[in-house]
Amino acid sequence: MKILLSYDFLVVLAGVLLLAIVSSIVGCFSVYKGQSLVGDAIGHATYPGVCLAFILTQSRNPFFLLIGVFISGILAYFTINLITTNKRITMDAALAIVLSGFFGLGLMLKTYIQGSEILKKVTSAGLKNYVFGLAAFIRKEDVYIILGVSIVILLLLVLFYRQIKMVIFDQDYAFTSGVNTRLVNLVLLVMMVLIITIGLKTIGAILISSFLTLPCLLANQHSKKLSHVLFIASTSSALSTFIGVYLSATNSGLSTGPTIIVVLAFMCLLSMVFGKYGLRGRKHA
Amino acid sequence: MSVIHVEDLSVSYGDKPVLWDIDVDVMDNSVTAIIGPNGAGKSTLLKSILGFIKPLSGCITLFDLPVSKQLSKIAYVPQHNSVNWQFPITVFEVVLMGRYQNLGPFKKVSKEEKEKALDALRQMNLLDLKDRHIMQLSGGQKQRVFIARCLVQDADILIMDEPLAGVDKVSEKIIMDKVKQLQKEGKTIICVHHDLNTVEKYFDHVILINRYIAIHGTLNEVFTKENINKVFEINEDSFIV
Repeated sequence: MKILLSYDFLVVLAGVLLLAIVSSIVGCFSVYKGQSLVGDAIGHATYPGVCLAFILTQSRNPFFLLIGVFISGILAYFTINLITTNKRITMDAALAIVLSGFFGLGLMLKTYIQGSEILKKVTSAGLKNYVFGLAAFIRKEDVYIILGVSIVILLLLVLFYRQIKMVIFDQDYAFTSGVNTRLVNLVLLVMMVLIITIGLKTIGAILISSFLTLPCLLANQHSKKLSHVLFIASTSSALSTFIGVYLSATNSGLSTGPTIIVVLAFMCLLSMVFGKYGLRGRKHA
Repeated sequence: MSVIHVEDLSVSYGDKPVLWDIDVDVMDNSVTAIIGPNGAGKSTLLKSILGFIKPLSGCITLFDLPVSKQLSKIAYVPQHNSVNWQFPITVFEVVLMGRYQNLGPFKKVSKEEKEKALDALRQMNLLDLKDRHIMQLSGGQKQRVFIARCLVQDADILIMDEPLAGVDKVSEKIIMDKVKQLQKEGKTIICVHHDLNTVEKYFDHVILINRYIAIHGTLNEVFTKENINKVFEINEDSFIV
């Protein structure tokens, strides 16, 4: 129990909890928009941004690296959109191209960094954390970044909540009601890329999409009302984060990010079976 | 008096022309059916009027102004396939959406707004289902929910894309009785319609359309055997631009 009050534990818990809650809310909107895999593709596609930012600035300053991540994420999204304008190419094919193409480029750049004479002088250790994440080493400064970005995302959400609801449910109707559907779609994209950007260092490119999608899938088994879904998604995400952080802090062999995701996935599976709208549930919608 | 005026409208999807040089007028306080065979461009005409599609050329006005400036005068019932049925939303919340335009981002939904939504549900015989998820309703009930949403908007023009498609007889009667009542209240109603047998029963104006032909006017003037044959007998090869 002593560990619950230790400074390091509380810093890690605060950072990951914030991230878990905000990403579960943003994730609900991207899942209902049918973009759960877009988050996964963007997560992977941010890696070349990390490496390029490092090559250009020759620094591991998280601020520069996160700018690289953000730009790379936005570029990946627009590449997906560009590819799918050709009606003969399906969305899943476009996602596969962007995910593997961008991630491959990231790995190529990482190898270049390791082999480069100039860049050898600057330590590149830690860039790998943007792929796998390293939640246990979150510092106070990281928590501030997560907090700042979370506030921006929540403000956007409050400001556009009704419009987002309309656009995701019925884009044509939203348009005729005078909603600027382009702006709302852009806000949804920015929220998703922002959360991926700050989540990368903590949870990593590979697992960030689980943080976006699993809470929504879980909540969807219990309610068909948006406000309830958002509440269930964020609380279950927070609960699994607490359990995951605690388990990894008390067991030296467990790393934080993957443990949280495993707990979350387990809760999600249970909900899929026993939830109100699950396989053995009472209702079907 | 014409409320919607369409002049020289041409629309294409990529290099495939869908509508070519179409002129149409929708008269004030009419119940107008847009009729034509599959692929004739009925929904495309509606989508062009609503501004979803940018036409190649032509001019569309609503009360003599561009439609984009008059959207508050329109209430729209979408086609089934444009709705995200998996979205977690109750019937009551869908209807309440019709009031969002007046609320802005922060204003709380007042008791009066909620009462308006409940009243619209009552008019469409859906009050008992207000807490159901939209997906749990039948096709006809879903359509009535969208019409209830339009009712709370209190717009001058109601535009419906195939409101009777896949709808049971009970819902059809409720919907069309409401349409007649709205007309009595001074509204204009435009529907894409597919059933030629019920045109005379429900509509007083008709737009017969097929890609480069559009015949519009009162039911008696336009809905003749000759015109119907003319519009329905165009085949692919005859459309040369």
